[in-house]
Amino acid sequence: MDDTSLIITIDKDLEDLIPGYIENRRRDIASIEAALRKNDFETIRVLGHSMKGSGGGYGFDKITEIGKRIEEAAKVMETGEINRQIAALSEYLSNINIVYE
Amino acid sequence: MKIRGLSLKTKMATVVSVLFLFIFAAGAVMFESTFEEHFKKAIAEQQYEFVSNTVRDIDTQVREAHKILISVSKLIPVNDLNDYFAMQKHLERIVQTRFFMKTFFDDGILLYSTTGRVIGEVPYSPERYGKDFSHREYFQYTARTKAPYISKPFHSVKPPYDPIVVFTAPVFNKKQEFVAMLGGAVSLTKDTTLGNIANIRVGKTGYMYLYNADRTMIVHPDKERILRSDVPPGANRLFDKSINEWFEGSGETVTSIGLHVIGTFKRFQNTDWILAASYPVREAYAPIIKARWYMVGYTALGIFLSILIILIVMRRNLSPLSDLASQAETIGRGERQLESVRVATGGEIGALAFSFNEMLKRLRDRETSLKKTLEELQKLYNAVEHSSAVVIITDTHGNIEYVNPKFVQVTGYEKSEVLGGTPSILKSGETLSETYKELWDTIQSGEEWQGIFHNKKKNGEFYWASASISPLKDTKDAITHFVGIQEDITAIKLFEQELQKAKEAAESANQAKSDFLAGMSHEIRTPMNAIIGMSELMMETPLNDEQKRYVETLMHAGENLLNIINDILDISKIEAGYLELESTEFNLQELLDRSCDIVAIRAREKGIALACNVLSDVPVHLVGDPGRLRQVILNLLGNAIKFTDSGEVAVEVSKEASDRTTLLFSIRDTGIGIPEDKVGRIFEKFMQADSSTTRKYGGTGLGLTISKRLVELMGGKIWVTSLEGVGSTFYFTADFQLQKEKQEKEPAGVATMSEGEMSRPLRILLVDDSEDNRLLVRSFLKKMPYVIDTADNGLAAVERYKASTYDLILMDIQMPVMDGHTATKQIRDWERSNEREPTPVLALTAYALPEEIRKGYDAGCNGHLTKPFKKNDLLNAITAFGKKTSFHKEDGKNKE
Repeated sequence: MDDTSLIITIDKDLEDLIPGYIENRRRDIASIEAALRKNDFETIRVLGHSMKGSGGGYGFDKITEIGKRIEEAAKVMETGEINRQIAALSEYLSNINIVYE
Repeated sequence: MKIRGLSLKTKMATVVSVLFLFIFAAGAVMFESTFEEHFKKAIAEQQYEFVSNTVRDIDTQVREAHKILISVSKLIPVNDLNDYFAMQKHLERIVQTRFFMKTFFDDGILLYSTTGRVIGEVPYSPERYGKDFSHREYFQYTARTKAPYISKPFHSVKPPYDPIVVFTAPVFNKKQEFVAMLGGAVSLTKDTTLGNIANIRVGKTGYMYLYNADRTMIVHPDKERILRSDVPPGANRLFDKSINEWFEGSGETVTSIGLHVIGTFKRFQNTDWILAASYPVREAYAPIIKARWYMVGYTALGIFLSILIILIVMRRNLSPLSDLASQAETIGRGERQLESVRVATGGEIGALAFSFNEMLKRLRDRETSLKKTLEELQKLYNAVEHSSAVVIITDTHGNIEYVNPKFVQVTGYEKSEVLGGTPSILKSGETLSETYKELWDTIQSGEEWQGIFHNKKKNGEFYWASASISPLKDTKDAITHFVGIQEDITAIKLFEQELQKAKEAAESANQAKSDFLAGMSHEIRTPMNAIIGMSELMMETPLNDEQKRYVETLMHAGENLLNIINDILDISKIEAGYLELESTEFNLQELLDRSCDIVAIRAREKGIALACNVLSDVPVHLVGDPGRLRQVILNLLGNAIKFTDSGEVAVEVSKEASDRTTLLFSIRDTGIGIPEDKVGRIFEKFMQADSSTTRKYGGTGLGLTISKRLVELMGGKIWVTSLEGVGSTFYFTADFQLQKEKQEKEPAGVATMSEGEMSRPLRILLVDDSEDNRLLVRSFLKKMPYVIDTADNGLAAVERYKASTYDLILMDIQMPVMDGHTATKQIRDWERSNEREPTPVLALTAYALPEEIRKGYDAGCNGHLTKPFKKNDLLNAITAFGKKTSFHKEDGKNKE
C-alpha cells in the first residue's frame, strides 16, 4: 500500500467536519469491539449501516464499502469478518492523506 | 345344485345303478338257475349212481350168498337125513369153515325136513330146532317149486325176534328128489350186509331203506318201521311209481312222513326188493341256497362298488360343473354380483365356465349400460317432472299422453282430466286461430314451433304462455309424438305492460324536464353573468383587503355555481336534442396550450407535472367546434389533476390511423385510477367511481357524460383504460375538417412544465439519526438559500412538522425510536386529517433495493435519494421538489 493510493480529495466546504468524522469512526471501532464482546450484532449492524450511508458523502468511499461489509457480516453474525473489517478501517484511518479542494 | 328335485349327480348315479342292478340281477338269476339245474341234476345223478352201486353190491352179495347156500345144499349127506343128530353134526361141519356164509346168514343156517321141521341149525337155538315151519311161505314155495327162494321178511321166532328174511335152497338126493331144504336166515337189524343199509348215510341227514313190491319195509333206519307197510299209496309219488311202474332213478318227492326229499329208487335183480334213498332237499340244496346268497351278496357288493365308483368318478368330473352351477345359481338368485365364476378345470366344463364368464361379462356390460341408461332416463324424467315449465306430450293427433305436475299447477286441471284429451281444453279464444293453424302446419312438417298463447285455466282465469312445440321423431324420421313446453309468462307480460307504461311516462317526464331546463338556460345564466360580471367590475374598484377577500370569494363561488349550472344545462340540452355544434376555424395547438395553461396552476399546486403535446404530423388548422372540444379536454384534464396526487398528467394529440381529420386525444394521469368494476359505468350520468369520491373531490358527476355526448356529436367515441392505484388514460376521437388556406402545419411545440418562481427561501426539515449525515447535509446546503431544521428520529420529525410548515422533508429511513416510513405515514395522516396540502418527502435511504424504494412510496414519500449521496445529487433533488412546492406556497392562498 503506497502513499498515493491513500490521498483522498475532499470538498473544502467539509474541511471543518473531517477531523470530527474520522474521530467518530475511531469511536465506532471501539464501539464495535465492545459490542462484539457482548455479541450485540444489532449495534454493529447499525454502526456499519451508518458508515455505509455517510462515508461516500464525505468522500470516503472506502468507509462506505467497509460499513457495508460490517453491516452484512453483522446480519449473519460473522465475527471474523467484522474483526477483519474494523482492522481494515483502523488501518485506513491511520494511513489516509486528505487534500481539500 | 337342485335341479328338479334331484341332482344331476344323483340322477346319473341312480340310472347307472339301476342299470347295473338289472344286469347283475339278470346275470345272477340266469347263472343261478343254470347252476341250480345242473346242480340238481348232478345230485340226482350222483345219488342214483350211489344207490345203483349199493344195489349192485348188495345184489352181488345176496346172489353170492344164495349161490353159496345152494352149493352147500349139495353137500348135505342125504343118506343121514333121518338121523337128526348126525345131520346137526354134518351141518355144523359143513358151515364151520364157510365164514362168509356164517357172516352173511347171521341169524343162522337151518336145515328143514320135507315136512318143514328143523333138523339142523347152526348155531343151535332151542326156539327153532325140531320145530315145524311148514306153514312158512318160503318153505311152502321151495317145497312146491323145488327152487331156491328168498322169503318175505318176517319176525324170527328166536329171541330177540328180529325181523329176518330167509334164503332157501332145496336139497335133492341122487335121484333128484326133494329131500330137504337149506335155509339161511339174515337179520335185518343187525349190522350185516342187509342191516347195514340202515346205516348208510346220504349226505348228513339222508338215508336209505329197502322195501319190497308188497310195500313192506325190509330195512329202514327207523327199525320200528321194518316189516310194516306204512307207506300208503299216494303218500309218496315216486314210491308208488317204483312199485307200479318199475321206476328207477331220482326225483323230488315228499315222503310218507312229509319230508321233502330227493328220492332215488333202484330195483334188485333177483328179488322184488327196491332200494331207496331219501336225501332231504334242505340239505341237498343247501349249496344252492348258499350259492344263491353268495350271488345276491356279490351282486349287491358289485352294485354298491359300481355306485361308489360312479359317484367318485362323477364327483371328480362333475364337481366343477356343480360348482359352476351353484355359483351360477347364486348369481341367478341375485345373492351375488355378476362376478366371474372360478372353475379349476379344463376340458368342456372349463370351456363352459369360460363361456359363462364371457356371458357374465357381457351381462355386466349390458347391466352397466342399462343402469346408465336408466339413470339417464330417470334424470330426464325428473327433469321433466320437476321442470319449472309446463310439459305436455301428445300423440300425432294431438291427444295428450303426458302432462307434468307443473301443468296441473298452472292450469288447475288434474292429469286424469286431460289425459286422452287435447290441449284445446286450454283455449281461451284470445289466441288467433291463425296461430293454431301455423302451429299445426309447422310441427306436422317436422319443424319446431315457438309462440305465445293466451290460455285459459280450469278456473276460467287467463294466462300467458310462451310455448315451444316440437315433434319427436323415431329412427325412421317419422313423427311419433309432439312435445309442448310452456312457460307461464303472465307475470312477465304484465310486468312488460307496466314497464312500457312506466317507460312512456318516464320519457315524457324526462322530455318535459329537459324542455324546461333548456328553456331555463337563458333565464338562469343571465342573472349569473350579472353576478360574476359585477364582481369582476367590483375588483377593479379600490378595495381594502377584507373587501377584496369577500369579492374574491363571491367571484369564486359564482364561477363554481355557473360551472355547475352550465353542466346541468348542457346535459339537459344534449338530452333534449337541442345542442348543435359550431363549425368555425381554430388552431388546435393554441387551443391545447390554453387549456393546459388553465389547469397548470392547479397542477403546480398539487406538485404534479403537466405535459401537453401535439404530435408533429397532426394538422392544427382545423374547422370544428373549438368551444366544445376545449370543454371536453378541460373536463378530462380537470379530472386527471383532481384525481392525481403525485406524478404527472399528460395530454397528447395524435392522428387516428391514416385519417387526417380524425384525431386521437389521450389524457394520461398517475392518479388513483378507477376500480375495474366501475370502468364501464363512469360515463353514465351522476356516476363517479366511488361515492366517497364525491365527498373527497367534489363535482357533479356530469362531466364525463357531457364529454361523451359531445365526443359523439363530434363523430368520435370516448373510452378509458385504467389501473386502480396506478393511473388512468382517457381517450377520445373526434372528426374535424381542414382549413382551406392553411393546409401546412406549424410545428407543434412541446408544452413544457410551466416555470415557477422561487420567491422565498425553502424551508427544509432534515431528519437523520446520524450526526455525521446531518453535518454533511448542512455543509452541502451551506451556500443555498434554505432554512434547515433537523430532527434525529422519526418521532421528533413528526412533532417538528406539526409545529411548523416546511416545503420539503429529507427523511432518513432507518432510525431509532421511529423509522422514516412510519414518520412519513404519520405526517401524511396528519395532513389528511387537518386538510393540509401534502408536503413533499424525499427519502434518504441506504437501501437501494427496489422493494425498499417502493415501500417508501407506499408510506407517502414523493421521491428518494440513495445514500451515500454527493452534493450535486442532493441539490438536484431539492431543486426538483422545491420548484413544485414554491408554487404551492405562493398561489395556494389565492385558491382557497
